[in-house]
Amino acid sequence: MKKTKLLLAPLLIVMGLQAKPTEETKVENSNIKSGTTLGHYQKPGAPIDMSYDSTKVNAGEVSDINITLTTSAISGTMQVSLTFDEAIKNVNNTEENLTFEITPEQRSFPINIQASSDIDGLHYIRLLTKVDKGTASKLRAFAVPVYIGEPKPKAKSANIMKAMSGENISVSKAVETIEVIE
Amino acid sequence: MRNKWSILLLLLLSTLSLSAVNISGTISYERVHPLHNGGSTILDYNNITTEKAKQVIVEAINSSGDRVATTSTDDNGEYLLSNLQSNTNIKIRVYAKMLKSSKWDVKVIDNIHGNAQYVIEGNFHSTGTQNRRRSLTAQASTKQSPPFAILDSVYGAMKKVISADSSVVFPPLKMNWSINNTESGTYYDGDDNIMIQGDQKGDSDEYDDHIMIHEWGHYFEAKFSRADSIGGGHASGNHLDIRLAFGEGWGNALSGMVTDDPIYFDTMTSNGTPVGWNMNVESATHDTPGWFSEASTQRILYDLYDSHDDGADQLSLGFKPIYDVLVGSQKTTKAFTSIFTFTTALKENNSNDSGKIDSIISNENIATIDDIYGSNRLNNTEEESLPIYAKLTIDQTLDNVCTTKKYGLNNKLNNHKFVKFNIKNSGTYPIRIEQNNGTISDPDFILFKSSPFTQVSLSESATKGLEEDSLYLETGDYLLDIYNTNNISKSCFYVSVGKVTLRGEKREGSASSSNSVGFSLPNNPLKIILLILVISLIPALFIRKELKI
Repeated sequence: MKKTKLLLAPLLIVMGLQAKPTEETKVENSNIKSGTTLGHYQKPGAPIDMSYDSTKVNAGEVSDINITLTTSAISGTMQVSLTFDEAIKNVNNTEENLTFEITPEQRSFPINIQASSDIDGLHYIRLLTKVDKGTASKLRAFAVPVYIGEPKPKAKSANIMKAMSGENISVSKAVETIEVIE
Repeated sequence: MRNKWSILLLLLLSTLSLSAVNISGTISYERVHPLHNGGSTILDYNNITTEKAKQVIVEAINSSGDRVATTSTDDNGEYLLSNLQSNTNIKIRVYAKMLKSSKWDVKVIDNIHGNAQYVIEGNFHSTGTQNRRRSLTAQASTKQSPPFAILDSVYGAMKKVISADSSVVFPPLKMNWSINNTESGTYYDGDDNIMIQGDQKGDSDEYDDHIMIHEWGHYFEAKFSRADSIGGGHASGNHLDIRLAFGEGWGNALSGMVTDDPIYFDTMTSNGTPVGWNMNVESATHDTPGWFSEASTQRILYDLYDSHDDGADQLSLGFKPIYDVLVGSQKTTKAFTSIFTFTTALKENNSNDSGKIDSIISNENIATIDDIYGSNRLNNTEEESLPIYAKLTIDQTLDNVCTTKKYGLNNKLNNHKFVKFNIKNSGTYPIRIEQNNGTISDPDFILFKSSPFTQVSLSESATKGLEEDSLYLETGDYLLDIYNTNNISKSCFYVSVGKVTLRGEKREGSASSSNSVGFSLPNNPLKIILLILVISLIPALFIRKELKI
């Protein structure tokens, strides 16, 4: 019986009869954070999607941030304005105002940024984009995260407490006026 | 005698302290208004007005933290808490929440910090012995006002719906807003959440009321009507999938209807400078108008609604006829939701106004709409666009159903092609989509039953050039949504339900159903001969073993 198995196995492999999953497993490097707006619900705006890979690094190290902007427009120019958080250095001096010519064949545009920071935390590079077709242009804004060291907890928007009902409440003091009704 | 007076005084004091008082007041929030300049719009922090916080929850909290009374504000932001104990320290707490039994349940939460419910409150003060007014204002400068501004936009939308149907009950909805929503985007999640950008250094939407209403429009479509939209990025000049075009156009138009202001705007900040854009949902420049355009859809819907007749628009239906279609025929239509299903039903419901409806439609370069499938279109798009729904006969292969990428990817016109067919006899039917202009595409399909409208199956195998499945189908009408997940400019397919009368060229591999793990037969003749040899060897091996040869 062992002989049968030994005989069959290589032949089955040769003939492509072995079971195989139909979906591939994507292996990701945990130090590279990725994101995309492609296929996601979006509010109205410029017809632009954004994808990125952002390498998590320690303070003082250089992070590679690869951004791709894709448009469904087939003509016009894509204008991009980059803004770096104050804590981030634009190491490779990427132009902060970019213009790309859109053609039916060229609708995707990479932007490769090297950035660093001495301050641990989650920082951002913000992009303001538009497709200029000679008429009034819609805008679309994106934010690309830059991960430096261990992220700090996000700033509290207000004082978080438990209400009597047990639900979390975010409390802030309002301006109050009091008057006695005679 | 002196003791007698003391006792009387004590009794008087205790009576006073136990007597009830009322606390009333106004709850307000500060709204930052837009400043339009041509096609650009920014938030104008020099134009902040104090607005009434309508229908929000107000509580009286005692010094132990217990709620001692609760109520809601009215449409003037007024509240009244009655019969509170006098001379007792309480504070007034206001929730960014509207809750009315069997009516609505909407709240604004901080999705970054434990879904905490936003509240504002005053300080502890004695209730005293007289009625008092205690009024609170949520300020813009301290970011207290955004949750209340968001609620106000939602309330405006709900009131518009209530104006058409006073018996409506809104399913619960959570508005997720935070100043830390930097990457979230603003969108409706298809269930009971709307995500809202709040990035104060980039894009924040809390005061962009048209955007709030647009997203609420998606919630309305999903909960009260039917939203077949496939989502994804879009813009007004795009040739879009008809389902997406209708959903987005509806959201844009609704924002104008609710605010009675056709200027839709989106404000943001770039490098510390306020920026933004706007569009007029009624009169924006006609950029590639048509049945595939969200801008055309929004203009049609807004023109049908508004009382401002101009040019081709000589009709002022108001909101109710639009609402009636959306919660009626649009919900049960046998085709995908689109401008065709909407217009067909609107004309049926308002037959006296058919000509005027046709006129508004025609102004968007759309030929008269006579049925839910958009038959008889003008050929003003690439030829693969028509017919919008190909008709298939069982046991007869349909030729040349083509998807293209001319207008973009994923959700643009012709990325998906629709095929309709009818099953006269229940049974198991093979469904086969096979490429006939090559073998490198990756066709997939979703099958829908038309009535009641339900998704029957999703078939998304990775097989090149072919997608097939075998399904038990009840009698009735069906729709196939066929798409190609490979980035190929044009792929054409044979489509069969039942017998296959046309076949494509041979390819590596064969059918495998969606998400399955299975065996595929080789189609290389040498491999087939090898397979036969192996199969015939097996009994020989057993016989050899038994005979101990």
